[in-house]
Amino acid sequence: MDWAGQYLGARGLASKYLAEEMDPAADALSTGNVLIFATGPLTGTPAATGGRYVVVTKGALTGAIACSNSGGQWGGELRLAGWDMVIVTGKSDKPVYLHIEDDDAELYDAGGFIWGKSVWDTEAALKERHSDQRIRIASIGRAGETLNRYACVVNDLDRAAGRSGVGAVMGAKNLKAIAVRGTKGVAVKDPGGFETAVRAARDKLDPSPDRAGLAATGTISMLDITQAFGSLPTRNNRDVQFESASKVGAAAMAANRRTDGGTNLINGKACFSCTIGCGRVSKLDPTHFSAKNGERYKKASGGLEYESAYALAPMVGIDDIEAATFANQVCNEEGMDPISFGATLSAAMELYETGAIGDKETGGLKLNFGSAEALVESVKLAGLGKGFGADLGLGAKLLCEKYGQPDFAMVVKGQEFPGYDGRSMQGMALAYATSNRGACHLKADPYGDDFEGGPLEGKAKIVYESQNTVAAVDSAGICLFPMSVWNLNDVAAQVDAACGGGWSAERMAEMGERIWNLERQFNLAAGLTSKDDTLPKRILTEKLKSGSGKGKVAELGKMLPAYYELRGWDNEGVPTTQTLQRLSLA
Amino acid sequence: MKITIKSVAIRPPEPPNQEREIELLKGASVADALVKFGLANPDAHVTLLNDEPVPAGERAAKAVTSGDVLTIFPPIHGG
Repeated sequence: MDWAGQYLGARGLASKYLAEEMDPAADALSTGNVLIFATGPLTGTPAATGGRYVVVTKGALTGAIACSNSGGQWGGELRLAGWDMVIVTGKSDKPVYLHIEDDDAELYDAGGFIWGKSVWDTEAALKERHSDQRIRIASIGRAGETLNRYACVVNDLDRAAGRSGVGAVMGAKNLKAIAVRGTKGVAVKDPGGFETAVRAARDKLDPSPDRAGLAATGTISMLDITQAFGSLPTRNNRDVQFESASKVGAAAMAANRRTDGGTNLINGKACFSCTIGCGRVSKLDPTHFSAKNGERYKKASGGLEYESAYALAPMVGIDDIEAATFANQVCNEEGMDPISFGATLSAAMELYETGAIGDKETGGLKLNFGSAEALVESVKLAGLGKGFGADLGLGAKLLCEKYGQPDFAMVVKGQEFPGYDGRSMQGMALAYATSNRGACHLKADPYGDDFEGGPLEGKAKIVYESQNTVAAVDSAGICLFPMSVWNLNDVAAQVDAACGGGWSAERMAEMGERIWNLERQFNLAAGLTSKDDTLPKRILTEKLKSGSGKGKVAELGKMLPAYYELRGWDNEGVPTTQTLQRLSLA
Repeated sequence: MKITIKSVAIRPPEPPNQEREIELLKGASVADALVKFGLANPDAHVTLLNDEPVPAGERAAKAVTSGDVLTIFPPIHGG
């Protein structure tokens, strides 16, 4: 069977390997889980944004298939070393790390060396031991070691395969890090055709206003939009507009501070081969109370982006951009998904304010919405799995179930919401509910139609088609951001020149649909059902108080049947035999 | 008549966020307001009239009235 011809690479091919290599019913933290690091055919090449890799596994947060995607430099380096994929099975009987240098790969003891250290200290220690400042490292922090359910894999200090708890799976396997040095280069099938296709795609992307906007302000400018539109989750989705949004948005990052005259934002930065450069570099206000936690936090490092800003500010009701910046730094340092951490803390704050938990459970933490002190202390505890941080490390679903208030968890399939409320963005509501990895803003593209107020009747088709497109793009080894300018023809031209195989836009879309159904089959075999294609009670029943969706709830029941029908699934959300045969899955 | 226009997260070289009043003739439409505001390529932007989305195809027929608030932003995909 030609798996590469059916699944291409990265997300698609790794998902196929995962489905073949493991029993989907195995516990995510058991030896039966499989952890795959995979690149695509454009990773490590000059294709714009061609630096992406994915981590595919059964998610510790969700019990569903997880595909977590990261940029930075690590993915490109892995391909430069000549590797397409690393598959980790079983469990080491002691903590180890993997060192790859071109064709050589060796496991080293991590105990007494980097086990027990943060991501940042791990990177420094590995570069020193191997006497090479150019090696690239993907590792877990102490959150991953302590099996925090939303622990992530961090590469290059502040880029992360962030979602679904892939770092906890790595921790459960006693694998601390994968350090890579590659000097071989990446060969492509048709060098002349590849140069032509890459140049044409760059010529399309480079002058676009969308590219310029992302370069200028990063993704955090979305916060001004969701605030204006009324889809900015605030205080655990009890509101969708935050009265202090202007204090934590793009303008606040760039503004001169009254305290020291400096700015939170230092610069932008780009991942491997990226011509956009949406990444942010920030520097914490040295006079802020959180800076007392150590000199390391006063240095320039990865800054707030939209998702981290939403989760660490409006979602927890906090208007202190420096506290949010500190919390984001600790998430990078200890390897935690800032979306899930912020949304879990938000749920804990609602538990606290409604009396479901008190000082006894929190160890004295005053978990009030708006408390920057609570954010700063909580993130440190969660990163280390200490005190109430162990509870926070459960994620919102398990935390709220533990304290008898499951409806406080803003999750789908156990994964916390990104920064969009589905009551004013109905397409996003459907995208969250049907995402194979749980609530996700990156597995479909309903944004434009949602912001235009498109009719409910059209949502299923938009979500269905964009889910297929995204799955195809995720399998190529590039970022989704060029897709505001490119279409699948642009991607297919680059892919086909890179690896051959006759790729076209139509074949890419069909492959995306195949991948979506493969993931769905994995989830069904893992025990998930159509009952998991749902949203929290709040989103389904509590009407919005303000914004463009005022008076609305998520109309999932009106969209889901049409979505199942388009997918070729039965009423229980199971792919029909005809669908599976059409996609060569049966 | 006067309406307020709020532009949000607009792409360079325009300033990202502005809020200002503009003067329009009675009977003016959302499309007229966008022309008066002077935003390049307004069709590539989302508009909300008093928080209600107005799709590009409906802007010429959608009248504005004194005191309305028109919000404009680019349809960013993801974040």
